[in-house]
Amino acid sequence: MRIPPGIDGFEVCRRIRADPASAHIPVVMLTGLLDDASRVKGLEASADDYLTKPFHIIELMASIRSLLQ
Amino acid sequence: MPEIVFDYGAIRARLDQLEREATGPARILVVEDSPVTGELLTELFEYEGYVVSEAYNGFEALAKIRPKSLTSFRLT
Repeated sequence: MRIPPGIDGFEVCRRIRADPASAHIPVVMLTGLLDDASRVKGLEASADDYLTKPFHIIELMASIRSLLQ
Repeated sequence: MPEIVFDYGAIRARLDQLEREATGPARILVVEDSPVTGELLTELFEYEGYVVSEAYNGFEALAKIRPKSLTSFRLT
């Protein structure tokens, strides 16, 4: 699996939350990192949802719809 | 005495429609370094009626979020 260079998704999420101008934006993490530690890391970064690949389209859309209501 | 029946489903749908007209469709930012997966997610969300932007790394994502309110969607 490739981890993108620069800042990872957890750090992006933390920075979104740290800026009052963007703190309210829902964040869904969709990741190939399946271990519990990564899930906890995602939730600690205040992601609204944390889905793992392979993702189910129905689950993904349900999450998005619920967060954008 | 006539019975007044409220169609709450219809009222809810009308309120949702007014809300969408007021704010426009919700926007989603897809943050994905794989072009194939990014394109798939973008097409999926556009099909569902969202307005989609894309970013290919974390810095680009933060730069795109800053000026406007977007829903961010991140894949690592």
